[in-house]
Formats: sequence, structure tokens, C-alpha cells
Amino acid sequence: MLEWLTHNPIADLYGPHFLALYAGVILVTLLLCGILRSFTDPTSGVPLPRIPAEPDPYEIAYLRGGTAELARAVIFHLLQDGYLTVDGGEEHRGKRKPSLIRWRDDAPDPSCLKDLEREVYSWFRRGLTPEQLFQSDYLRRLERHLAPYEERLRQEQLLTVPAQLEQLVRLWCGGMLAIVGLGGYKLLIALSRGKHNVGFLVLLMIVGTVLLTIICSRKGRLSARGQDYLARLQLGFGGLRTRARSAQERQAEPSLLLLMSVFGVTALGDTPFDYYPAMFHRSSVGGSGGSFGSSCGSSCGGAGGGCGGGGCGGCGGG
Amino acid sequence: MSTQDRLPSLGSGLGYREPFRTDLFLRPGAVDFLEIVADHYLDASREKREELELLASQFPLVPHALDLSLGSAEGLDPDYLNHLAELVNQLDPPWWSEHLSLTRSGGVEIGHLSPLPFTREAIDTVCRNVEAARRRIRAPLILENITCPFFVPGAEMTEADFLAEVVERTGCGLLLDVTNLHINSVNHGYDPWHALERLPLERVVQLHFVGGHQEGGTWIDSHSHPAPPEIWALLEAVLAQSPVKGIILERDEALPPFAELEAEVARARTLGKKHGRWD
Repeated sequence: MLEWLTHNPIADLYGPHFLALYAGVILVTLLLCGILRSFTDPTSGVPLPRIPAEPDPYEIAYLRGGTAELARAVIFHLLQDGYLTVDGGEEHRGKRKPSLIRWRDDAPDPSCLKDLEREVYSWFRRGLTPEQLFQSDYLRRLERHLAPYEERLRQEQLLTVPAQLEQLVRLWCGGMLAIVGLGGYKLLIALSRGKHNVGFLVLLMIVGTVLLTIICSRKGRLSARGQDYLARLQLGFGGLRTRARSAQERQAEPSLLLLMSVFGVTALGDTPFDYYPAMFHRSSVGGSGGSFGSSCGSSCGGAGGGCGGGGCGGCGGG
Repeated sequence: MSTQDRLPSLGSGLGYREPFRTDLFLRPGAVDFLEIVADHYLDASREKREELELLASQFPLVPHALDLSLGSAEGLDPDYLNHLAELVNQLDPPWWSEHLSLTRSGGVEIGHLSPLPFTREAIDTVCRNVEAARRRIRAPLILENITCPFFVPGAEMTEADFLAEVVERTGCGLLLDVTNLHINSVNHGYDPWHALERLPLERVVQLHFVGGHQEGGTWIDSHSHPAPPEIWALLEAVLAQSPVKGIILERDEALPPFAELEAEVARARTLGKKHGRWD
């Protein structure tokens, strides 16, 4: 048995010939994993939900970019409705770039606000910059408000499910068995026979492992159905971009909130609220990235895996 | 129960144009159904296919073709018919529509809807072409009257009698464009109400309406203005007598705020309800 383990067609295969074979095995493994990966998302091809008659901008923002995006949407709504105002910052090329968000002196009674809005409103009693907001644990306080959104989105199969992650892990393990298993075996055989020219073998193993990991990584928190649904919302509401240019700053134009939710803060760039994307862009550049922070990292990860579909802590682009 | 009786009542809607898209989703109750220009989705880009999919998921759609050229003596363009059949069969609408006109003759593309001679030979041609279309497209076909800048010399009958006979021989329903009826009557100097009396109103499935404009005393079917009172009067008269299943406002030019279009559609819907065409 031991004899067969150390002397067989693979173990005895001439080095360059083995490398050619190994490259082919890696290629086939990657192709196979790529094809099988598409089957791990059961929502692919499932008919999409209808665009609701009264779309909820908060739910859409949460779909697109998670908690951080939801917070941005709520803050924007509070600014539009006169509960919050912006201060400070600098003028740059004739454009205002405020840095502080605080309560408005003549704000309406906040008891009319929804729980979620009142929670966010409370953060700004002494004023906060977006950097301070994302570097602290304020966003975690939103967690207790997320359940209804999370539940609705999961019911509609718009978010990836844990089962999908498990399938991806299994796929990755299978691929690793093929790539590292075969490559590692040959490496051990080579070393046991005193051959140390194993550089190409190791390089192929590393490249194959990296590519396999890329193929098997979770591509965001949205399922295939979720991504298609978001694209459908963007197609349906694309006209909001044009009409946003004529909005007035103090006008509580509901379509601007919907625009921001569907396309992200950058969609406000041509509107009287063009300082809003600049404020949150700076928070992504200047911040060190807290738990829901400015960079694609922990906020997007959630249960693990890659970045959020529509926007990470700081960018929130469309 | 006739084929027409089995058709669903769709209500009141708009001819779909891309500028309306976002408003249709912001105010989904504004229309009961949409009429799409079939030619915009034949051999379409990915974007147009996605748009069609989006519209079909949210609204009942009725395809309205432009270029089948039912009056062409040389027959239908097989390539166009193939694409049209693929689209209409895929959508599976309650009906689809095309014009009683000519857009192609002797291999020459005319480029717009041209009137047919009101002759028996023309009726025979239309019947042959309708039959050819029916062999490929499952949904019922309804036929629209067009504006006639001129009447082809040698007519054997009036336009109304021509429409009546075509509908009788093909078994198709009628898409009565009351604006076109009015424009033809004013421009050619006859009474639209008299023409209306001679039409087979029991075969009217759908109505088109919109306002045009006048140039030097001639009415132009520009689809550019709200419908004037004369059009509303004709519309209501037809609704009172015909088992109309749907009405479409065909506004293409000088688009006003969506709320104005919504108001016209709503007015048509109310008239339909008043005459028991839908709930």
C-alpha cells in the first residue's frame, strides 16, 4: 500500500508533464465550481415581486445598502422635513460642504415621527458629523428597528440565505480538495525525493486557491432575485433623476427620498441637496471605518462574506 | 356568446411612451392598462426588453402594430410578421391592433400610414392579409381607422361602409379612433355623426382619442393636445352604443404634466362606467 502511495502514475509523472496536468485540473475545477455556484442561489429565475403601489423608501434603502444606507435615508428625510439642519464645513468652488448635522431650532414636534426616525433624530441633539456617526455605535442602535424590513426582504427572497453560504463553503472545500490535495501530494512526493524545484507547483497551487476563493465567495447580501428586483426599481423610477434637478431645498419632495433610496446619495448630486453626497463621501475618506463604517467591511459582512450590494458604510453610491 | 363578448373589459389607459414610465409607477392607479407600440419592441435591445418585461409585470398590455401594412397587395412582410408574432404571442394579450392602411407598396416603404382605396378589391386584399396574420398570431386582431389626408380616387363606397364591410368579412373587431373619425369628417366636409351611424358599432372593442391641431383650416392628427369637446361627445356616443372593452388616450407630443393625462384617462374611465362598460 505504502509502495503504491509513493510510486504511481501521478507520483512518478515527470515534473513539467505533471504541471501541465495540474494546470488542467485547476482549470476544470474552477470552471466546474463557477457553474455549480450559479445553482447555489435558488432565487435565480424566480419571478420578481411587483413594484409596490406605495414603495417604502426605507425598505428600499435597507435592501440596497443595509443599516448604513437606511440611516442615510432617515437622516435625509429628517433634513427635508425640517427636523435637522446642517452647519459648518467650507465653501469650495461656490458649493457648500457642511460638516455638522444638528437639531433645527424651529423643528416640528418629533413625537409625530416613526420610532425609527425618532431614534435617529435623538442622535443629533448636540450635533454630529457623519464621521462621528460612522465611527461610533449609533448604527447598532438601529438594529431593533430592522426586524420588519429584514423579515419582509427575506420572505421575498431578496437577501442571501445562510443555506447558500453553506453550499458555497462546501463547494470551496471540494475545490480545495482537488487543487491543494493534488498539488500538496505531488509537493510531498517531490520533497521526499530530494527535489526542491517546486516553485511553479507552489505558484500554481496559490493561484488556483485564490481564484477558487474568489469564485466561491458570497457576492453581497442580495440574492440574485434581490439584485434583479433592485435593477427593476431603478428602471421603474429612473425618471426621478430628471425631476430631482428642479426640486427646491426646503420643499419636502417625497420623490427625492425615493430617489436617494433607489439610487444612493450620489443621485442627489444635481439637486439642491448636493452637499449631502459630499458630506457622506468625506466620512468614508476621513473615517477609520468603524463597525458600520466608512469602508466595505464589517457593516457589509453581517454573517460573513463580501460587501453589500448597493453601498458600504461610506460610499452608498447607486 | 361571441368572441367579442368573451374579451375582458380593461378600462381606461394610455398609449405608453417612455417619459411616462416613472409616473406610471408613482401613480399606478392612474391607468387600467397600457397600449404599447409593438414596433418599439421588435428585435429590441436589452434595455427595451427589460422595459417590456417591467411593464408586462405591472400592467395589462395591448400591442399596437404600425407596419404590417394590411392593405399591401403583395402580402405581408414575412420578416416583420415573424417578429410581430413572436412579440404578441409572448405577451398573450386579450387582443392586439393594427391599422387599416398601407405602409408598403410595390416593394417601396411609404414611411407613414397611407389610406386604402375604398374598393372591394382592397377589402379582398385586407381579408387575405388578416388571414395570414391570424395563422401566426393567436390573439384576436382589431382594426383601426386612420386619418386620410386624401381619399384615393375610384372609391366604391364611403369610409364608414368600407370599415363595416372589412369588419364583417374578416370577423375582426374595430379599434375606433374617434379623433381620426372627426378629423376625416371635418377635413372632407361630411357629418361625423352620420358616419358614426353607418359604422358597425356593435363590433367596437377599443377606442382611441386625443386632440390634434389646425393648420390653415385643416385638422392635423398630431396627438399633441387635450381632446376637445367634439371628441368627447363622439366618445360618449360610442360608449353608449358599443360594448367597448377599453379606451386609450394616445398623447405623443407636447406632453403635459402627467396629472393632466391622468385626468383625461379618468374622465374616459368615468364615462365608461356611466355606460356600464366596466365597474
